[in-house]
Amino acid sequence: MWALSRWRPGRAFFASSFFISISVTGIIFIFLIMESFPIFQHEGLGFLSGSEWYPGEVYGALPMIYGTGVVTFIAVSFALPLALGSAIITSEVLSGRVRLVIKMMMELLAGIPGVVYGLLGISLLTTAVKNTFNLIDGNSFFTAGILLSIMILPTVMTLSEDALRSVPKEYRDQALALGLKRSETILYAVLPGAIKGIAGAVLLGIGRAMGETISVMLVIGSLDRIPRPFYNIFTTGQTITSKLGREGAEALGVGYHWNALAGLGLILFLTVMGITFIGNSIVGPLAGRGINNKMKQKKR
Amino acid sequence: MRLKIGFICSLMLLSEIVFLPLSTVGAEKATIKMAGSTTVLPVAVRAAEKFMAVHPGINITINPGGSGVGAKSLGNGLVDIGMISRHITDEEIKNFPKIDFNVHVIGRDAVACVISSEIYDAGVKKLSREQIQKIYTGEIDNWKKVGGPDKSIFVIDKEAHRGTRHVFMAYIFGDENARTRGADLISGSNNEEQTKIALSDTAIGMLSHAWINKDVKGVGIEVNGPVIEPSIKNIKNGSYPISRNLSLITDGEPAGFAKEFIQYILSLEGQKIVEASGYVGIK
Amino acid sequence: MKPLFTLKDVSIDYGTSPVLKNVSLNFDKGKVTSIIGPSGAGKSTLLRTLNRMNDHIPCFRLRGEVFFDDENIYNNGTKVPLLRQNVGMVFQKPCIFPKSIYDNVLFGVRHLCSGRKYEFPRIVEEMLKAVSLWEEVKDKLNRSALELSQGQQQRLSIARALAVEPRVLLMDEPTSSLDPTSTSAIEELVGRLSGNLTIVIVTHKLDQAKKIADDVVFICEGKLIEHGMSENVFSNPYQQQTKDYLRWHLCKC
Ligand SMILES: Nc1ncnc2c1ncn2[C@@H]1O[C@H](COP(=O)(O)OP(=O)(O)OP(=O)(O)O)[C@@H](O)[C@H]1O
Ligand SMILES: [Mg+2]
Repeated sequence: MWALSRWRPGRAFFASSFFISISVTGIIFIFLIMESFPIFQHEGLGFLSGSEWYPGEVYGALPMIYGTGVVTFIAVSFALPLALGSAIITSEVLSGRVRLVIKMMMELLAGIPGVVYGLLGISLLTTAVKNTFNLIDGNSFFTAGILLSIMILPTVMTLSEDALRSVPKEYRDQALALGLKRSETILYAVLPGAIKGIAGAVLLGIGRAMGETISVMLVIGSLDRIPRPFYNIFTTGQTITSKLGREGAEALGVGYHWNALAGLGLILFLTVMGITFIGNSIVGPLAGRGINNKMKQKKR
Repeated sequence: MRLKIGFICSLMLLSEIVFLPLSTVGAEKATIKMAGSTTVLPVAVRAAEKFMAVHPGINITINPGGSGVGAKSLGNGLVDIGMISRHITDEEIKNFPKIDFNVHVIGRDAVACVISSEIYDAGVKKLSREQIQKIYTGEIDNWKKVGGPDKSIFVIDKEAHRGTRHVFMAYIFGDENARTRGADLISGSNNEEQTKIALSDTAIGMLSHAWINKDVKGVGIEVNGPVIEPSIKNIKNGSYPISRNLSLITDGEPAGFAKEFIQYILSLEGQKIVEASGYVGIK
Repeated sequence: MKPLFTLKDVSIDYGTSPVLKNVSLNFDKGKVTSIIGPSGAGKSTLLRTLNRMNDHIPCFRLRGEVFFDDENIYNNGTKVPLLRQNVGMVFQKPCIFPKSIYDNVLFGVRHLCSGRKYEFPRIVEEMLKAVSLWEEVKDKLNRSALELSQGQQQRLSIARALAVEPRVLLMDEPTSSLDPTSTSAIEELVGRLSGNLTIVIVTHKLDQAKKIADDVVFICEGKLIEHGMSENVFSNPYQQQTKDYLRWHLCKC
């Protein structure tokens, strides 16, 4: 990082791309606020709390907000233990070469577009969910959550692994030298040092899960409703993104329908931006290495 | 087996999402832009291939999305030709006062009430309008009540703007925007609906009859006694109750290549494509 | 008296050329043994052989036998964590966890025998007193240990190692990153600890070895050159290489 910022052309490049991405984000933000303003005027806070959505009559975003929350929660609950487990094995147990191969595969997986996951989901996953849980149909919050967990797994895993690797080797040696077992060393010396990086990885995963559209749209069922009872995740529902994917093209440009979709977009935008921001600020400068830096500062 | 079917269907869905528009962006080519109904889509795609072969200077891009998208895109001036499988709604006319919607009927189609082959094979070969109505309102929720096996019904509805839904609901409820409290899932394109029903074994849905196959069966509609099958013959003789026109729409009289393309579809050769796609020609 | 450690014909390599070559050696109970030799001679490697810390280096290979209390510690059945509880280690750079002083002292104890919770305050006090740190930190036990000076951190490391109640303490250049005051504090500490504790200390500083060691081991390029009582080695070494090293600080082996 330091070397890069001393390299002038690089600095200019980073500055300009930073500026571009900031201004694009700003433009999107302003656009969403302007486009969604009429719906907040029209529906008031009922837009956030209403659970009925009939274009031309009433726009209530609650089922979509609920769906996004539930699906993301399921995705993280499944992805986190798996990602963390495989990150620990990769970082702490496997040899260097195997580790590189796994990292490469994970980064490759992270790059596969959502559509592909969606199509695997629509045929393989829905059938598997349906048969496993003996449901009438395999499209559900749960299916979407599982699909998302598969999609964010590589991201969460590689970033967690980076966080684990960045914990100084001395911590491991010190814990081992005191007579701790391998597992105890990981639990008490390595994980505490990596916990911030892992939290950041999870937040970035959440950001991706919330923003994913097509794959969710293909397996969630796209029905605007909060299930009854509300924790029944084996029924169909809707997320903000699947709603936008379904109705965006049709509502394009005019009317309250469009304003309402822009309002959904705004809710998602703010949430994802917030989470990504927190995630980045945790992962970026600190990520376990922070402790080391503190140590170095102390020494001077 | 079912998985394989689902997989093939979803690959078709992939091509719909990823590879369309079928643009071959060439330099200096005149372009005809089209969008809309996935029912009209196969006709438009095949006709466009033939048309472009004869007119190498013309490039035709076609986007799916549904009838609502077809009308909207034309209204917003995004396309030259819209594809719809229903009539233009008053709402759409009101939303785009500057647009002079000009409808060119290119064929006829039936909207079939489709069910999973398992249910069909178990004996549900016909349904009445009232029965379908009750299934969609949730009053009937088990196949047992309509002569089928003791299985819950998985009710598949469609995105509100889709032509197929307008036509189907207009017949079943007398209201093209009817609300369906009994719905369990909303699907979009014909391909998606076909996939969802093929993968289910207790589903009911609505589909252009050209998409009916051995996993997705169209039931006969019982109209005051006699049962009318969704077949080419019954569309032609007008006896099948849920049928509709497939149309291209333009803003005012089409001109230039758009006009030529529409004329091509209306020609003898074009109408053969309509029929080869599983629809009924207009002559 | 029976030696505590016995190395028989030990050779070590990390995949390429040998790092230790046919070393046979005893370490006596209750003594301070200092390992000296030029950089890269294999001092750290020899030291880490005694608590099997080399195991974690890729391609590490050992031939020969290492006995601790008559038990070959490189046997398959050896419980390595248990060995390390008996053979503690202090590193060159103090490694302090980002926790309080109190928790750092207890780091090993807490995770090894958690049944003695009520004894923790006593252990902390005792260990910090043993390393002469108590007076300096007794009022800020709950403050982060990272706030301590380098010398204090090293003494804290020693306290943490002692808390596990090892029988042997291995120290790898424990004073090389410290100021003279902290260095003499630790040298004095080593003197106090010996007797009950067997100490093996690697050092670059010959005067330090002279000051604190009972026995001296001189190795060079992986070979054991000389091993004897401190007085003898420093005043009248057997080997020409040792003489050269003591006088010129270089050796040709
Ligand atoms: N982790 C390792 N992997 C590969 N080779 C190593 C490793 N550690 C040490 N070596 C090699 O083993 C030899 C001896 O290293 P060792 O650290 O034991 O020397 P030393 O006597 O402690 O030196 P110093 O006084 O510089 O600490 C060196 O040649 C070094 O290159
Ligand atoms: Mg060394």
